[in-house]
Amino acid sequence: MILTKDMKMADAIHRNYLLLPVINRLGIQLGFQDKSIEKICTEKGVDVSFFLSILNAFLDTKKTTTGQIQTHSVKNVVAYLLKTHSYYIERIIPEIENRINLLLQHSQLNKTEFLLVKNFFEEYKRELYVHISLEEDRVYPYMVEIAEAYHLGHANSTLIAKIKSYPIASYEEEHSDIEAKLFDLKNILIKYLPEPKDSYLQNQVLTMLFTLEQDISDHARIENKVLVPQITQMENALLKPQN
Amino acid sequence: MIAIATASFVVGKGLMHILKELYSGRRIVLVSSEMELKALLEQNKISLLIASIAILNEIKPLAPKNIQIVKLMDSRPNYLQLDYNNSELLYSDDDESQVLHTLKRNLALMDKTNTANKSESELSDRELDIVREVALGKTNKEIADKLYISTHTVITHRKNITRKLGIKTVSGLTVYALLNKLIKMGDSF
Ligand SMILES: [Fe+2]
Ligand SMILES: [Fe+2]
Repeated sequence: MILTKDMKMADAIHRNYLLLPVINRLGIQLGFQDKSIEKICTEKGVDVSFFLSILNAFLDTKKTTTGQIQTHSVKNVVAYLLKTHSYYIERIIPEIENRINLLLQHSQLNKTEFLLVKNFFEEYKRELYVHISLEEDRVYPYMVEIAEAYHLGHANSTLIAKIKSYPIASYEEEHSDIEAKLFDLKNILIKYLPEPKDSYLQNQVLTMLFTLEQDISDHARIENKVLVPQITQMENALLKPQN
Repeated sequence: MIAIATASFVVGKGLMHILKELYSGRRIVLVSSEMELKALLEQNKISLLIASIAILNEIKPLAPKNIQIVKLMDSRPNYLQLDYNNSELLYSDDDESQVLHTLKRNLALMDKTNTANKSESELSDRELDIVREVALGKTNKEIADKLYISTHTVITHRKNITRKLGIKTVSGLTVYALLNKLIKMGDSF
């Protein structure tokens, strides 16, 4: 474990400032004083063990660290993932859009180049939104339903049919396209747009893209490496004929 | 890209036809005057130029270095023996085997210098052809048919392109192709 409950909350941010939105999503805002992680979590009514496992999985991508999240309820993990979705949709994506628009206003790009970048980003955004709504409308509710049935030790026939027709494993591959587009956009900005007079604005767009990329890859890792295997296990248990 | 420059329409078209049979897929451009050739040389990277001696003499001071040139000559003088080692000259009365020999030799040389000059990350002419087609929305199968290669070869090229450019998606390649003027705005939509 990289972070422990006795460490100061402020030190977590000094270790990696990309944790800032992660901490916010878990219900904690700035103004840490010199309080420990445990103290702040208790004050805010946040489960400290859940908090630590999410932060540590962000900092350390090793399977054993990310796997720690599995000790928490599917419902809580899903709730956290939902918050990251709205962070993308309400905060990061509009902000990147604004900054891309500035590239034209400050004539860093001509109209054609600008439209190429803008349309490409629009496409990316559309794919991301489709992906997110698929998860929110179908995948997450299904996961929560499976977890509830598992804890009851029984699945009704409708749920059994669902498990058989659309098991959770069939959704895992969905992520690759979204990652690829973001990867391409970075290279277009870094390598293939003509040299600007001043790179400052493009640097800003790039910085946001790198930040988003790391956040999304953490998010997708929780979906793929924590929830998918966990739900698969539960599905198998529910499918076993009961004695 | 291969350029053919000759005032003779018949010779030009004939060479183009033969080259396409020998080397389908590579872009071949035909021009008929030294003016057109100048414009072409300014805007494109020509790896092989087949030009009449008249046109070559006109553009001589401008002729770029590192370009492989075949001179189109009038009939072979009687005193000259057929010389298979000299691949720089093509005579108007050369027979089929001589013409094919000269062209094949030059195409092989061109490919050799092309690969030798390219760094690991630079796209080969063939890869550029593929990028163009992908950017225009063609499927691997369509590209394979058009360039007379197997779908498997197209897939291998695409993997190498992705590795070299750092671009994975079709729309990313379209943006790349437009920014680098491999295709024009109207082409793709
Ligand atoms: Fe998600
Ligand atoms: Fe996802």
